[in-house]
Amino acid sequence: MVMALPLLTAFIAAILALSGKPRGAFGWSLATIAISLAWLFYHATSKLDIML
Amino acid sequence: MPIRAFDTFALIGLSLILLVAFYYQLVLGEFPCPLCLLQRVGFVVAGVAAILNLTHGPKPAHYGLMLLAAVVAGSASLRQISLHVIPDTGAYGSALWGFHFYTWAFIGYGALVTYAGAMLIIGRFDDAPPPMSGAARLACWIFTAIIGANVLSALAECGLGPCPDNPTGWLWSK
Repeated sequence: MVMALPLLTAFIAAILALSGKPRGAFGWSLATIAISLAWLFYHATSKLDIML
Repeated sequence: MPIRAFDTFALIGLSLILLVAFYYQLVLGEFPCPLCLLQRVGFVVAGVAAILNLTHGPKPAHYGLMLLAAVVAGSASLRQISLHVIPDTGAYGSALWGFHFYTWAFIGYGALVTYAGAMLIIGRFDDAPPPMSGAARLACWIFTAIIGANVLSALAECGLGPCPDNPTGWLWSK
């Protein structure tokens, strides 16, 4: 579980956007969101002490 | 005002948000938890979408990216609010103007969703990217440098493993 990974993929996306490669930047951005979603399941699916 | 001017202001705003988070981390010693880092990632991806708009012209797909980032990271902030919403369950980090950062982050994602929705309605999307102003170019590079600093900071805090739930310092200080 590399916590820096989504930041790294977003950094790659920003560099690609600034280097004239919008498709690559968009793809890496989507990958960043996918990794964030996976990390969110890992860190945010334990039971909460609340009742709705 | 052209749509790219809005994106420049949005990028500057996102940079300020990440710089305030850095200030609290580096100066006040409040290290980001895993959910906090996920919330930072949301602002970072929204910024990359703004950079794409500025460098290659505004496109609905870029605002779609902004919306997706806001929804995923907004879920992380809502989760963190839920962890502390019951009285006497404590809080994470200090408050700014009465709200903790995860609450501010949730407000920020609401603002991002509103912004992206408004741009999708009022924006004119043509294929030819107009020339980028010097201010916009500078904002793009500063934001990219902030992302790079966040990568280094996350590595220095968590290494190549998971971050602790309540981090108290850098890897080498433990």
